[in-house]
Amino acid sequence: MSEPLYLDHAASAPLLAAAQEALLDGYARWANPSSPHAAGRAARAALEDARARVKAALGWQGEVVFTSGATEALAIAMSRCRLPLGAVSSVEHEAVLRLADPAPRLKVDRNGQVDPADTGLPALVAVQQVNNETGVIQPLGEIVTAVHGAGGLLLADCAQGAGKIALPDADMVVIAAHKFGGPIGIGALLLREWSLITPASGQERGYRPGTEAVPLVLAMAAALETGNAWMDEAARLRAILDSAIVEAGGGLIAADAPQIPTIGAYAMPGVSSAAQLIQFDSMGLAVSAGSACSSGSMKLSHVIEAMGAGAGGAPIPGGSELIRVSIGRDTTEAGIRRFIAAWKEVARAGRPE
Amino acid sequence: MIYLDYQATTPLAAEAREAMLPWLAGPKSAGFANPHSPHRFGRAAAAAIEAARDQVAALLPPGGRVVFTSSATEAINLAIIGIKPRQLHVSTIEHAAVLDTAKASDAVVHPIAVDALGLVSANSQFAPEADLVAVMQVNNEIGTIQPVEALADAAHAAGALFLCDAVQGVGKLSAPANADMIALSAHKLYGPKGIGALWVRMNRAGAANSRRRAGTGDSLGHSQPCAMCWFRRGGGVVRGPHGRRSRPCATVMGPGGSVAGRLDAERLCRSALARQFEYPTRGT
Repeated sequence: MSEPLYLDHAASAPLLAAAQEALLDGYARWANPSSPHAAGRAARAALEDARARVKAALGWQGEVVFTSGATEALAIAMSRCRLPLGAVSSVEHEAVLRLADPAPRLKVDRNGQVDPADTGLPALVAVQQVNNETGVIQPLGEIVTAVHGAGGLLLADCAQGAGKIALPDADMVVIAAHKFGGPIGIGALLLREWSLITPASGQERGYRPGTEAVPLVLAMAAALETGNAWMDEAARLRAILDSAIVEAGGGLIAADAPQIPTIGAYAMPGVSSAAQLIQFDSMGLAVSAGSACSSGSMKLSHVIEAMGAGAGGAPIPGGSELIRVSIGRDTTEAGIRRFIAAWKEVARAGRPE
Repeated sequence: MIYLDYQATTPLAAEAREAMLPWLAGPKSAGFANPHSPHRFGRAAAAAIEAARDQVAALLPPGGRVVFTSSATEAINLAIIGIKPRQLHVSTIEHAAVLDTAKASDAVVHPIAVDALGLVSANSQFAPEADLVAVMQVNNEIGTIQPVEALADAAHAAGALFLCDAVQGVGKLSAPANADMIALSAHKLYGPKGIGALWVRMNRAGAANSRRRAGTGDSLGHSQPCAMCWFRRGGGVVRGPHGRRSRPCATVMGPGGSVAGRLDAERLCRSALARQFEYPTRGT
């Protein structure tokens, strides 16, 4: 078996060395930040320092509520917002969609983008920053203008963008540390102001009960502070990958939309997603078909389905023949070239004579 | 400094730390993937979670399933909001995680008084309308041990389910063998912060002799109490689109289970939960 090559960073990224160090340091300073004694006060100080560092690293001026992940942050935002949920985009992550009923879904065009004109609602509107399957970036600048113009609030799931590209102007933002090199088990809900949601009880100023996981918070802050300078290299690698796949007869999904460099979805004509995954896995290449969360099922992704439902209603070509490649800061040009060679091999073997 | 506040939290055991390290690693390791990913990295993570689940289950009564959560607070939310009780009985000295969640639920909350020693009477009886009874195993402020097995029997006699907040007892005392749900937290037993679990009885043996009011509108959709019913109703708990399982928080026990270290965050039920009730941490 060849050496494994991980190209599934959108599912989860390796823990950064700085984050691991911060985490282990946090486990050595283990008191409960709610305890009034000296050890507890020190843990509280470390927690609040980390909160300030997270805000600084993200350029966020508002409030930060630490949660166990993006899923929980979304659930808090959607169930406790002062406005009712008005609509969500049809290409949101499952974590949003399963909380969204019965709110209407905003349609997307064939490139997977929401039309800002559809988002002017006097309610909570949820549109992601970056799609986790296609890397498509939504026009959140125009969307927030439309939402605010109607007296609504914008919730942006930034799980795939935070730590990589600048946060959008939104009322509430959701992030997950394990997507940018922090640990699994920690995320945050960023709030423009406290009054956007109703409090619950307990910790985090009464907005999120449960003992704060200080070591995980410290690690998240450290991961964010590592910065995003590597995104230039990610863009370069991504350009190599896109042109090579297209040249070899593959299709780049949502090619006409702006995309984050770290996530690309590629169609391989005549070879199903499942068949590709099995072959890439046997070659030591870890990629995915759509999101990790839905990849046991192998049904057509709701994202691709929503894109195909756009003008004309024709299915997206290669929609069931996709794999997602996601680049991380440890990805090298050699790795990308190895993947390209493997892609061509699988395509050649799988192409009907 | 001499630390005598182990009720508030405990340090991370060396065994727990060791168990976590392989899953808190960089790109040269295999220990960072999403356990929902189908490739080898993901499969290894998923396998580690299942092994950990068995290790945690070994601390708890047979016949149940361990659902990993981010904390005991979340486990308690999951239990109380998930069951959707109409008539909820809780002791007056429960932790705020139970009291606040009870208050935030749609249930009529019936306080169960304690005596001057902080004990609930082992001879307590509950009205036949009761759906859920919640009494902690060990009080977090005064350390009293409640007669939880007798109270679970009384709950079952009334046709109700019994939830035990065992945060201060697990790993130190035997868990109540006849509870229907048990909430626990890793950082109270030398595991890391950010991980807990809800143990849910899967078979109905523990409630075999109990009865339930006949008629429509049974909140559990079942003729007998079965804590797992609402999970099933939510769909996709055991296999389905969930939130992510967290493996750096993978479970580990010390030798002989005496140090129950690392539980880890698997969000295995999240989707069902999120849909079923306003999942995370609702309180007052």
